[in-house]
Amino acid sequence: MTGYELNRDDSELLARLIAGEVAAFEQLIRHFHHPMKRVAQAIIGEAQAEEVVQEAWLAVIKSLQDFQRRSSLKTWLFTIVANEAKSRLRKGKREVSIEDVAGNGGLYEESRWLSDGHWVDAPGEWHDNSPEVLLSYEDFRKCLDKTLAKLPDDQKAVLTLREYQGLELEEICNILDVSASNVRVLIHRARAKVYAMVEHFEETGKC
Amino acid sequence: MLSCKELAQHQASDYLDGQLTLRQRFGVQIHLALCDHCRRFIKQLKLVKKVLQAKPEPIMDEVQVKSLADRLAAVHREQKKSSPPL
Repeated sequence: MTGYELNRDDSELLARLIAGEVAAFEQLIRHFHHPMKRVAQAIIGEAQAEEVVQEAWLAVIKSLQDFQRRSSLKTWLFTIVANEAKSRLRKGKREVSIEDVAGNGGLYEESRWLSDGHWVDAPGEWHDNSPEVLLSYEDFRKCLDKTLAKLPDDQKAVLTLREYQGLELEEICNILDVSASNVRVLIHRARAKVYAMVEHFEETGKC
Repeated sequence: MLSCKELAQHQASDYLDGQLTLRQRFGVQIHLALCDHCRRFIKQLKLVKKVLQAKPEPIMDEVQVKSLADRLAAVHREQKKSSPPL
């Protein structure tokens, strides 16, 4: 968790930003720079993502006074960075890599399924069944980071916006310019990869 | 009838996220009532979702945070100077 309820603190933070308080800028950057970069990366790729976020921050500063509060501050930030990234795309709609299933392991392996769609073997039962316990293992955290780092950019961005930032599906569709059904597929593909990783970790204690 | 494969590969996250139609949701619930394997799978996928939500975001390098914040605050000051509030 980010440990930071932005919606509740929007007004206060906004007032401090408008007043030019450096600590408020720091707070905003600390919480949103990485997530914004993931959004930029999903739209325009890794090479230009950092530059796009830097440009987006300047755009944020320029329009801070005009922020209308029709959306939450975080949705506004993600929209700005997405627009900045989209404006650099030369033409055409980008491809969403929902066809990417390679490396999903587990769930998408044909060998896991009988021809009538039943499980060949029951999914193994996991012994550690609380997120806190799993995340307390250093090896687990490292393995999870590695798995997340290997996700395609679209899946990373969707996970960030949905699981960490708690945005609504509709907001994610607008920000990333993808359909609701694609967002749902991307979320499931990402979770399926993490499922396969946790399953392997539970079975072997290794990454 | 919904197969285990269809459930695991396509409907499981939508089920957890409340994105299925009433009819699809009912199909999943019937399936889960009858299938131990899928009940276990859904329970564990729910754990995956919780792990992802509970995982802390990577921490940004403080030097980078401070230098960017200083730069933005300076831009903000310049802008205020050139267009004072009415």
